[in-house]
Amino acid sequence: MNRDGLINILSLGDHGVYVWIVIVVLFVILGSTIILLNRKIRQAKKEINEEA
Amino acid sequence: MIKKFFHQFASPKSYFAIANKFGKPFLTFFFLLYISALVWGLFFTPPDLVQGNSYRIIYMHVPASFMAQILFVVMAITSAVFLIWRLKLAAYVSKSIAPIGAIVTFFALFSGSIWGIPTWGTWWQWDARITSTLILFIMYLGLISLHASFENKDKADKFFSVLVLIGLVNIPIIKKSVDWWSTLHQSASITLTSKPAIDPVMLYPLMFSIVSFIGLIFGLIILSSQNEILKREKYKSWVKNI
Repeated sequence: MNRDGLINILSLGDHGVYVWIVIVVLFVILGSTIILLNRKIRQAKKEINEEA
Repeated sequence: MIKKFFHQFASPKSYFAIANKFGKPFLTFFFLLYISALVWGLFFTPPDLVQGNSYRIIYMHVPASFMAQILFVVMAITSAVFLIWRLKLAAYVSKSIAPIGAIVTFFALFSGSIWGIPTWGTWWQWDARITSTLILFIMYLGLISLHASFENKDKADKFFSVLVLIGLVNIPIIKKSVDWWSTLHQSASITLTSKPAIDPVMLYPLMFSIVSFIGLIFGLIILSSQNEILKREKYKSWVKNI
């Protein structure tokens, strides 16, 4: 991609703002899902170890 | 003998051991792969002549929409395996797919709505494709609620599996909705039988994003199923030794 094209998407020109909204929401969803699942697994393992 | 091997391999204990070892590296690998697919699609492809930059949502919307349907099919397969062979692991995996499926379907609807604003001039339209995908999202939520409403989880697994198989009828409806009805949503740009309607410059990063997103979501399912196994098998002796 040339420099103008890169500036165009980074500067949210030509409807680029919609792309960035979707990217932010996607990574918030993915990140929070991974963190939540890891936390649940850790907590479950901890509870099992405590009971044992 | 084959049945015995199958039962041993598909035991929650064996599955958990493998998932515990390879789950996180698998997820990390496909997460990084998907990020590189997005970088390719966002920064190394030209803007669309008509849609400008907004078409780049394709690298998130298409993989999510594809996976929303595929996950339901996978859930139906594992549910059928559970109902036929009574494999507990199949029920656990089936149950752990549902929340991931709901998240992916929500994101497919959300990204489609955002894409609709600059492209169609509206974020929502009750057309066949969008409505049938909304029904899919409601079905995922319904399945999660149904399973949670039962105290007896064995009974919950049976009802859950039967309902998944009934709900499977919605998948061909979603797939064919753009052909059967006149919809605002465009018909498929990539099919197995015809030449893709997308330029290769945009098609290759799209294919890359679909493949890496599939891996990423299956990585999440591995994590989710580990959590489900720990919850359901916590009183088993093997769990105490992990």
